[in-house]
Amino acid sequence: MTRDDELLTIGERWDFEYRYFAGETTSRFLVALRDEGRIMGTRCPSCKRVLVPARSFCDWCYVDTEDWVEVGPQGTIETFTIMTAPLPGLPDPPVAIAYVTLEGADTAILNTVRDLDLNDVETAAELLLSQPPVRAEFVEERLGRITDFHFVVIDR
Amino acid sequence: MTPAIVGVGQTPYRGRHEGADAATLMSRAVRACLADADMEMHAVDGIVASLAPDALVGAKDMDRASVGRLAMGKPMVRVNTGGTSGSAALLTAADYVRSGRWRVALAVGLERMGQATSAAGLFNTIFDPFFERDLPMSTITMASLRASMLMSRYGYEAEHWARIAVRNHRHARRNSYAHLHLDVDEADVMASRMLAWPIHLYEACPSSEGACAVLIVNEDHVGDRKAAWIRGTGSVTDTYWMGDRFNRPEGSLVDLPTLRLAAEGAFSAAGLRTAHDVDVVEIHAPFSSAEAMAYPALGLCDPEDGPSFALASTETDHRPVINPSGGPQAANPVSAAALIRVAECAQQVRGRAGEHQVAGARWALATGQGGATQFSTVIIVSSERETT
Amino acid sequence: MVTAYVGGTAVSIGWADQRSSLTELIYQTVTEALSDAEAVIDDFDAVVCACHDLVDGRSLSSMITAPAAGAYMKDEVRVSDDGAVALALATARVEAGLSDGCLVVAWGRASESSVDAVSGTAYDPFFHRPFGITDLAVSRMRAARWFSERDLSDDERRTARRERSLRASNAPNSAESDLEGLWPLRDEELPRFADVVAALTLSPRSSDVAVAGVGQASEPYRPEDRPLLRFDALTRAGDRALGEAGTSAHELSMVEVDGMTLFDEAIAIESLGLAEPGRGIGALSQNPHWNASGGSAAGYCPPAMGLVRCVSAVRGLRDLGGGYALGTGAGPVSAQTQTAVVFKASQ
Repeated sequence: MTRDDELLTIGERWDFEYRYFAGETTSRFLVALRDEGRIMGTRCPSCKRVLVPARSFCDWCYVDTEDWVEVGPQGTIETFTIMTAPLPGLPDPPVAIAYVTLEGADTAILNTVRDLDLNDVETAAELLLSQPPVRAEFVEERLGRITDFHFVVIDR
Repeated sequence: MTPAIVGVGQTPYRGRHEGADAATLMSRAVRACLADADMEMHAVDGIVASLAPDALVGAKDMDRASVGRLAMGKPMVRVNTGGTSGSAALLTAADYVRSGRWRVALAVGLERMGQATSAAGLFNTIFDPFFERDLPMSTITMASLRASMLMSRYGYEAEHWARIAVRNHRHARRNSYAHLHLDVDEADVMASRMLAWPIHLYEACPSSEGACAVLIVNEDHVGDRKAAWIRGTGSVTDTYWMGDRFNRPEGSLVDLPTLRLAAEGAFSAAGLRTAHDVDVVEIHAPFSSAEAMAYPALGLCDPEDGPSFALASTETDHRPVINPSGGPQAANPVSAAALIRVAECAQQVRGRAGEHQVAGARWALATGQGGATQFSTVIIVSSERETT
Repeated sequence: MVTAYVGGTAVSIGWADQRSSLTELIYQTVTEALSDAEAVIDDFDAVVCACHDLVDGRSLSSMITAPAAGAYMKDEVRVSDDGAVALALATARVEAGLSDGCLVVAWGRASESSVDAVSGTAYDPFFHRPFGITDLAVSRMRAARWFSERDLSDDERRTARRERSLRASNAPNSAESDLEGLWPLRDEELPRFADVVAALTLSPRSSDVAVAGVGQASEPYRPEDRPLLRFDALTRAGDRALGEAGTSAHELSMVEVDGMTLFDEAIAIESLGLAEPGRGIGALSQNPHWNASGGSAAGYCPPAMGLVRCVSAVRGLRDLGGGYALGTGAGPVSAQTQTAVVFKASQ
C-alpha cells in the first residue's frame, strides 16, 4: 500500500569549472603586484581619472585608457566593515575590509586591513570610523592575486 | 497610453515551501492574480518572469518549467537583474504593453532559494573574480560597508538601524503574507547577533521562498476593474566598481545617484516632486541601513537630516507610510522582492491591502535595488489615471 | 507608432584569446557597432543585454558586464534569455517612444565555461538530469528521429556538410573549438562552440533597415511533450512577424535561422514553411541566402545566437540592397521558446 503523504527530495551538487581570462590589462596589474610590489592605475584621457585597479577602458566615458600610473602606498579609508559571522568559502572571522583611495588614484580599491585588535570589534570600528591614514603592505610570497597586499593603519 | 495594474497575486512567504514544487508555487500566485483581475489566462499576450541567480535555486531557467506549464504557447521572457529582477520584469512587461505589442501582460517572480543548502556562499560569486572574490565580500559585507559610511558621513548610529527594523517588523505583523512576524523592540535588535559591523541579525532580511504575480493591461483593457495606474517609472544602471563611486560629482556610494535619477524621471512623468507627494513608499532594502540610503534619493530629506528623518519615519502616524508591508526585512524572496514592492503599492492604491491598508492611499512609490546598489528602479502608481 | 531602425552592427567570434577579458570583448564589440552606426555612446539612453550567469560563471553577470556594454547611467535591463529576445524588447522600447537610442548586446564565452554541461541544469532533476540530458543530447535525439522517420541520402548529407563548412570558413574570426563526433552527428553538423559577442544599435531615427515585424512564442517545457521534428513555436513566431511585416516566407531575400546543429537548422527552415517536411537539409544547402553565414558552424554560444543570426540577416540584407530578411533565435531547454524578427530594407 503506497503512502500518499511521503515527500521526496533529490540532492545534487553543482561542480562547474570556469576559467576566467584576465586579459592583458588585469594581468599586467597582477604581475606588477607579484613581481614589483607596485599598485598600478590607468588614466582615462577623457575624464582624466586614474582608475585603480588598472582597467583597459573607462566605462564612464566609454573610451580606452592610456597612461599607466603607480599609486600609493599611502591612502585614505573611504569606508570599512568588520566581518563577524562566518560565511562559507570565505576567510574566518573576524576580518576587517576597507575601500582605500591610494595617493594618486581617483578610485578606491578593496582589501583587508591587518594588524588590528579585532577581539574588541567596537574599538576597532571606532578607530576605522575616524578614517586614519593607511598604507599598502605587501606579503613575502606573492602569487599575482589581490591578496598579495593588504592595508595597515599608519602609526602616528 | 497609461498602463495599469489590475491584478495582484501572492503566496505566503516562508523559509521553505515544503510539499510544493516551483510550478505549483508559481501557479498559485498566477491564479490568485488572474482571479483578482477577473481575467482569463487566454487573454494574456505574454509573460515576463523574474528569476535571479540560478545557483540559488539549483535549476537553470526555472521559469521555463514553471511558467511553461501555464503559458499555453505564449511568449515568455526571463529577466535577471539580481535584486531588481522583479521590478525590471514589471517594467519589461509594461514596455511591451506601452509599445502596443501586448495588450495584457503578466509579470511573475518566483523564489526557491530554500532549495540551496549553501546559498550564502554563492553570493560571493557575484563579485569580480580577480579583485574581490578572494576577499570577504558578500551581500552582508557590501551592505555593512555602506552602513559604516552612513555613520561616519551623516551621523547615523546603531539606534537608528534598530528603530527602522522595529518599525518594519511592526508593520509586517499586519501582513499575513510576510515571512517573519517578529515582535521585537530596539533592545532586542541591538542584542541580536552581529553579522558584519555594524549590522545585526534583526536588521537583515530573511531567506524566503514564494511567488508573486502582477497583471498589467493597457488602458483599453481596464474596463471597470480596480486599477493602479502606472504614472511614472525610472530605471538607471551604475558602474560595477564600488571604488569608483566614492568621489564623484554625481554623488557618493551612499548617495545612490542612480536611485535619485530613476526617481526624478518617475516624479517628472507623474507630475510629482518628491516622495512627500505620495501616501506610501515601499523601499526595496534588505537592511535598515540600505533603507536609509533611499530617503535623500527620494527627496524625503537632505542627507544630513537622514537620521532625524529615519526616527520620525518610525512613528506610527508618519506620512508617507514607509513599508506598510514590512518590506524585505520581513520577507525577501530575492527574485520576487522588487516585484512585491510594486504589488504592495498597487494593492494600497486599489484599497486591497487588507489589514495593513493605509487609509485613503491614492499614490504609492516602489523602489528596486539590484547588485550592490548598482541597479535602481522607481515605479509610481496611483488610483487616478491622470491628474485633473 | 514609432518604427525602430537598425543603425550599426558588430559580431565577434573567437576562441580563448588571452589578451582580452570577457568585459573587454564586450566593450570592443559594442565600440565596433557604434563605429558602424557612425554614432557615439552618448547617442544612446538605453541598453538591453542578453547573457546567462551560468555561462558567464558569475552569479549576477550583468553587474560586471552591463557597464562594459555601455550601460553606465543608462536605462539598462538584462534578459537571461536568447539574444533575439533582447532585440524584441529593445524594439518594443523604441516603438513605445521610451528610448531615443538603444544598444542591444548579447554574448557567451564558451572558452571560459562548460556551456553544454550548464545547459543540462535546465532539465528536470528527477526525470532528465540523471541521464545527462543537455541541449546537445536533445539535438542528437532530434537528429536520430530524423534518420528513423525520413530518408536522407549520403550525398545530400555530404553536400549539406560541405556547404555548411564552406560558408562557415568565410566567418571573419576563426573559432578553434571542436567537438568529437557525437552519434549520429558528424563534426561539421555540430555547433562550433566559440567566444561570441554580438551588438546592434536601434533607434527611431530613419536608416536603411527597419524592424518590420517581431514574433515570440513558446512550447511545453519537457522535450517529450513537443514534436521532435517541428518547432511549433517558431511557426507561430514566424507567422506573427511576417504578418506584421506584411510579407510572406517565400518573399524573404535573406534568412538566418538559429539552431544548435544542422538538423535543428533544417527543422527551423521547415517550421517557417520554407521547405516541406524532410526537405530542410537540402533546402539549406541549395539556397545561398539561407544561413549564408554558416549558422552554428561559424561559431556558437548560447544565449548570444539569436542576435548573431539577426545581425547576419541585417548584413546580408544590406549587401543585397533591398527586400526583407528574417532572423530567428532559439531559447533554452532545447528551443522551448523562439523569436522571429523580420527586417525590411529600403533603398
